Amino acid sequence: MEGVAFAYDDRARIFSDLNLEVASGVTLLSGENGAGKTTLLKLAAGVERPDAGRVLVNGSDLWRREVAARSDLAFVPQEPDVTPFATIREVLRLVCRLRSQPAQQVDQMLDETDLEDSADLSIRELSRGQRRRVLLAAAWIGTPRTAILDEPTTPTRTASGRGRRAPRSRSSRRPRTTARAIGSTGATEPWTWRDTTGGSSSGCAERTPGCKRHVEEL
Amino acid sequence: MALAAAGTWTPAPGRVRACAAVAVPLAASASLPGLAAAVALLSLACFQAGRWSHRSARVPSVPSSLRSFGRRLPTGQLVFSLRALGLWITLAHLPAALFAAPTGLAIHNNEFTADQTDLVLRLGASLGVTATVLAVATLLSARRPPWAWSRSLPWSARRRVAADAVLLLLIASPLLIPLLYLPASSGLSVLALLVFLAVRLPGRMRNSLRGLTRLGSWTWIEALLAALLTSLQPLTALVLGLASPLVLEASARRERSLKAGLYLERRFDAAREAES
Repeated sequence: MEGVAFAYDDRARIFSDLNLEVASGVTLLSGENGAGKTTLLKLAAGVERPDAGRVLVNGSDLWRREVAARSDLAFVPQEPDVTPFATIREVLRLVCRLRSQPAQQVDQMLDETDLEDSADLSIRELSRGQRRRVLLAAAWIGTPRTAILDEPTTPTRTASGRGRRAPRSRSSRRPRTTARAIGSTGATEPWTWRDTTGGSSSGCAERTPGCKRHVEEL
Repeated sequence: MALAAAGTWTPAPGRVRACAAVAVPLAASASLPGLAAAVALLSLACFQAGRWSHRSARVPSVPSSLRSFGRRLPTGQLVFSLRALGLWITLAHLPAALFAAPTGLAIHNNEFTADQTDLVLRLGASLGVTATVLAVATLLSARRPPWAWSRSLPWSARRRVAADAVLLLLIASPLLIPLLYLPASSGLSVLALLVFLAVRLPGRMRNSLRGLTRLGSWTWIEALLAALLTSLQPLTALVLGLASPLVLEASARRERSLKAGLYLERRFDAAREAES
């Protein structure tokens, strides 16, 4: 992220001149409630567009080269946000099509996430955990290099008791994934990045009292 | 029409069903050109579907150009949007009928010159098309909220906006059949107006300041002004038609700047409060 500024409206500016680089490997983002972690992940995933600055994913600008930058990116949001006007199978088929993957991956993902019986249901008919599993299934289609998971520790237990089977089984077969940003809450710092390469940085959102307006290298 | 409707739901590739879906309103028009177009589309669908085989579910091979064209068609998004409209879609052409009736009465009860008749027809057609497209866009923006997560998928804002434009054009397509009976210049001006509105309204639906999809009253005024201008001066439609690619890009910019997460936060905050 380079010089990113973002606000939902004029009254609540979340970031201004935010600079951040996430290296390959597993990266953890933690911070107190309201620090702006989810908004940061949404900016990184291309859900929200920054008011200023740019966001690069694997070298591609998310908003100038929209398709190229997102083709190797998966996002699992905190809240399971899937259109109610499609069945689960249709949503996964759409993801397959957009990522240029064979349609057979839909059945494979449904099987791995234990959603075969719910495949023809609307998202409205699923529980919260099942909805989250739908997004996990969508995330692994096409083996994207970058996965952004918001609140990844939310339980996703399957009907057969195979809780969290999908992420674990996929991780062993996913050599292409080089970076994952994971959101969490409850830390004392405003928010902190930690990555497997040993580097870390911290920063804060403007709405958090007493915070500086930029990211500092530790 | 039944054959076309059945083709829409058959377990065939998306492009076959898309052809059948377009053929339905054309066949329903019960006019000779409409029926001919429907038959042509169904023939194309049959050609694309190939021979039926019980032994293999493999889709017959089609030329790569057709295949890539089929991949680019936003069929999934169209189907989701049609479901969002629900049964309201059956009333989509009612606004056009409200303008068609007075237009017909005005021509029948007055002795107009050829130019005046042309003007009245153009005015009725422009207002009818505009009212229909505006009504559908209003319904769509009210019933289909922003889908924030889908913005992280590898498709461009232009494509999402273009899919909405295609939907508006498809729904308004039966209104094009009466245009065949208008003088060519009038018919083309109304067609250009329709294309302009189809690419303009998806952008106007997206209210970037509030994170919502909603059509404001100014959009109605703007669209009706465009319809009036097109009726009075058909050359205006030429300008509108030529500006359509730029307007599509402007709509894509509004889609990019939509604060989609804002709507989502409000919705889930409300849900959490209800749960507690």
